[in-house]
Amino acid sequence: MSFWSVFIVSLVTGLAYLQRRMLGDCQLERPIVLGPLVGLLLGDMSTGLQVGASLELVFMGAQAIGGSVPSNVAIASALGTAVSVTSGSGLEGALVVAIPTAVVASSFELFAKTVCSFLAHGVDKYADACNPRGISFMVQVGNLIHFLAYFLPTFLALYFGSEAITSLTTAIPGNIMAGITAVGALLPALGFGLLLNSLSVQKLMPYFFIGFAIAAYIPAFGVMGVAILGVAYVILHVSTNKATTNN
Amino acid sequence: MSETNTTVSTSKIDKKELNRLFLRSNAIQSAFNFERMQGLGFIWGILPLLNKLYPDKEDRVAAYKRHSGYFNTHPWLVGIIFGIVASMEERKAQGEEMDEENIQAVKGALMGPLAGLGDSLFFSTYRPIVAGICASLALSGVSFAPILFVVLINVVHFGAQWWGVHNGYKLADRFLEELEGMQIQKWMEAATILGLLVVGALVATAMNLTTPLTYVVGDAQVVLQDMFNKILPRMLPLVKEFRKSPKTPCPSCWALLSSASFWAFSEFFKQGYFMGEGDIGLYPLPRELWRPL
Repeated sequence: MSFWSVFIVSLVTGLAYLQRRMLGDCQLERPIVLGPLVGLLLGDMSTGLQVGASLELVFMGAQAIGGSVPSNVAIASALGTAVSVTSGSGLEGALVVAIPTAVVASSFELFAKTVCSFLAHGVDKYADACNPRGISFMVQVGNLIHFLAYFLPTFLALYFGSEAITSLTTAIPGNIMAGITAVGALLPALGFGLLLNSLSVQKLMPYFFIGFAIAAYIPAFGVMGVAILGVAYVILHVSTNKATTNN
Repeated sequence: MSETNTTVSTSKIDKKELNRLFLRSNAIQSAFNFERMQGLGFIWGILPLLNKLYPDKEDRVAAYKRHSGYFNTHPWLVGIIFGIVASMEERKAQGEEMDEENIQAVKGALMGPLAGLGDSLFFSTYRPIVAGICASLALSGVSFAPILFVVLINVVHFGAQWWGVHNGYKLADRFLEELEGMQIQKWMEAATILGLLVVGALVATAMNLTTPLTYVVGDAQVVLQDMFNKILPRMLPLVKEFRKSPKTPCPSCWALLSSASFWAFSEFFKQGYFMGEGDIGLYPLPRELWRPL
């Protein structure tokens, strides 16, 4: 990959994360958005779309609760998509790169959040001196640190590591790759499982089977059809029933 | 709904000011750190308002310090707290009886419940529903799926923030009472139902788990997957999902374990350990990806 394409991919990754700091939480760093975006930048949107959508299903349950640091899905999907597009290794190549990256890269966010603790004391100092500009400056320095914590690792990994990663993914023997493909097909189950853990209310579980049965027996319905039925049903449910759960 | 709390005639906070507060409230996670969490984002968000309300240096310094401490809530619902705090600060600036502790207490009392509400309603339910729909659209080649995702997510995101700032300001300390009237519990249950329906549909569509296992009885060849399809289409993904369903403590462990065992079995079959007559193999692969070695 050329310097500039690496630079732009890293820049987009950093900005996709920076919006979580400065624009609320628009979810632009999710794989479903970042995958196609990186694919588009590298000239292969359809691969990006497939990789992004698959990673989205895998990381569906990954979220930050409280102040915790979740799996780093942004760097993972950027690297995964970039390697997949440049090496042509498909979804498997993306998975090989993205899953470990998501775990390792979460330490960068951890680092940024630790470093920014020092800025809090700068803010205290400027608050005492009644200097609103100083306070704003400290806050923006914090945002810059957060941006760099995503930009730099992505840039370094792609610029110096992409060939190594690519040769690694192509060097994996066929039957191990077949195993990875198998695990890849199963990985969405992990995302759904994590999600069910937080969704599941024993009394409401029948709805899970209703959703499953509709989509399984009538393939044309798809997830979209079930969702539309669901929204209509839920509105009826709220306007007629009383809540059965209390948690 | 109620104008009794705000004395409109002397109000320094107009619609324009509230809209600015809304814009700034979105930067709540700025300079996020482990010591103050969203504390720095909060002071940055409310900074211009404090400057406007407190011309005196002494009041200003006190206000800065009041709002740069520890703070953490859900980024989509923080608008409510900004609105309420704006209203309280305004009354304090106008000389009403309003303790500093009172403002702190309201912030502290609201951030926990709103964080819980936002996490369960938005991050555990709404986002996965939208993500699931859009991911399955994307997998079937619809290229505007990511755009649809961003739009659906952010209509709710910015809508909640805008609504929160304006209504939080208007209702101020009566906000919690009003919230109870809105039957949040019922809506949360409704969201859970929708979430379960969609995840059920996702298991049926997005998981590609079939078996190429066939066996020969006499002259007849029996394809196991065809039999499964007759009993219950997409049965294997369902079984797979329930290897680690609700009450299991560690779903990821189960997923990895069962994946590993599936793979190990398929390797055994390939090596011919369980080979009987005919070509028997059990591969946890999507059929189109399976190739005999």
